[in-house]
Amino acid sequence: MNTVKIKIVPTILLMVFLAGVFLAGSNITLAEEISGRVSPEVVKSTEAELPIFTRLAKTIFTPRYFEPHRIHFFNNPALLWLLVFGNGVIALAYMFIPAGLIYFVRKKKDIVFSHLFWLYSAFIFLCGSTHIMMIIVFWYPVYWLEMIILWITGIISMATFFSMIKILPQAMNLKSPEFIFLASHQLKTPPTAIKLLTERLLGDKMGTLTEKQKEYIGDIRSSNQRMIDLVNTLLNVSRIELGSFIIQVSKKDACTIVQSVLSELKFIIDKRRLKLKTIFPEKNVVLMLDEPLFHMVINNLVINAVHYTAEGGDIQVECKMMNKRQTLGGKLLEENCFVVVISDTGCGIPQRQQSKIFTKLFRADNALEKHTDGTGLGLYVVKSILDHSGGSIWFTSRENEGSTFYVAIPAVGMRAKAGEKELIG
Amino acid sequence: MTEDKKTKILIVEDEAIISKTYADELRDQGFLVFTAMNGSVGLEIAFREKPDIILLDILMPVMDGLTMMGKLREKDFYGKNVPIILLTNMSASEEKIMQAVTKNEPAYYLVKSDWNLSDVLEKIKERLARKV
Repeated sequence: MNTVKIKIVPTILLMVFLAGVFLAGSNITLAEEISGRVSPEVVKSTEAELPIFTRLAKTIFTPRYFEPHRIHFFNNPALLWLLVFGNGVIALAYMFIPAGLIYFVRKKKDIVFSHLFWLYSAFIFLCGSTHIMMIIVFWYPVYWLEMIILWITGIISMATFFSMIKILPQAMNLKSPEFIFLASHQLKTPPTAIKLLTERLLGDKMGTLTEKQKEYIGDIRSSNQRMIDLVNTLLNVSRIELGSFIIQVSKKDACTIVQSVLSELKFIIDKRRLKLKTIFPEKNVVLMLDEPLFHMVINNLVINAVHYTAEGGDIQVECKMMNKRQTLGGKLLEENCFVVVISDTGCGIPQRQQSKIFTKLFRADNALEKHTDGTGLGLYVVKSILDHSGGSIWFTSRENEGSTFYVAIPAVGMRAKAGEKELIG
Repeated sequence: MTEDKKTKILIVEDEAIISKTYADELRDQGFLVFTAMNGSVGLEIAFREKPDIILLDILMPVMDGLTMMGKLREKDFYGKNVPIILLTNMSASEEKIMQAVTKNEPAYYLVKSDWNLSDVLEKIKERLARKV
């Protein structure tokens, strides 16, 4: 439908409205004459002296010769009150719905077609007002006011309707998170092929490669792996946003998982000549955990410590049980917890940016400098996992001195969550 | 090794490059390799050549991997027992895959992008060894 056609309908409506008002307006005097309550001479002499706006306001707000609706119900007050309450309930709901909509639009910054939400709020609000008018005219016959509100509602309703029709084709094409999820699967196919091919090239069946050739193929392989990791992270984010990821818990030794993360990262820790210190409790700590998710949380935090600590710096990982009402990193524990404390002597997080650190895609200024490959999604994923599983994460940090991240899992363990898909580690 | 003594393997995968790379590697390893671009062709080759093991992609045009596996399993003794390794880029708990895997034993399930060529090879060899 083109915009010309769309504009015709509200224009016709407006013209009908104005013509109607003109007719009804010219009838005021006529009606008053017929009713015989006021002689035309009196109306003319008293009103002609008033300014035009006062005359208009008087016509609209002071019922003069109409009867209130109530008189039709003189023998059935029960019906009258049913009508009043019915309209009241509708009006109340119609006032709350736009309030909710406006709150939603204002809070959710990335919303599309927000003008339609405003229009829709106005439309519902006005519909509510017409019901309030229906109640008022039972007692005060302000039919002029009712008519005006009714017409404004009608015109806004039509405008909403046509705006909706206009954006419908665009709205149908909006990419849902589910689409992103499916597209991400497709995105993985080419890097999978590259992965297999580089492996073949580096294998012993392909003849001898020069050192430089090997180096370059190795570079292709690691860049490609980064691509796969990136797509996996995007998939995780879309699963978090769809709320469709699953948390499956079983009894696990938490310290063993932390140790396995550290041994997997030993290579990179050694490569950067970082000094790793670990403190583990003497006894195993068995609690309900989703092993891959807990692994992902610890892995992300230790990798961050590695990336943002200069060569030769220190990283410390400590696991321990703590009792409720004990304080850790400036936070009072509300229940008995298993905590993992990961501290580094790295670049730290600038004070002014600390509040944004768990925000999706956020990267601190000094982090951007130190480690250009980061996605700004790691801590967001970590926090989402902990939020959904009953755990918590917080940190203390000073710029250029280092950061300490605290992860607390309730002593009973992580909370299971039904869903459809796993997050990918 | 003569052709008819070689272990037969069928690769059903719509991505030509991925299919070719697996096929090349497996030929180098001494397998007799067949390839199919979708489940429908895969099914035809499976019944004709009776491969010892099948590598099966899930998302494919014409007939997807899960449908092909279902048809194979309901057909005959061979179809019911041939080991299948599902290769996909979907992850483990997608309900449909897991149901299909548990319903259609002996089947395995691997995520392509998480596994190296050598891991897949190892899995194939391990599966074939168990059959003997």
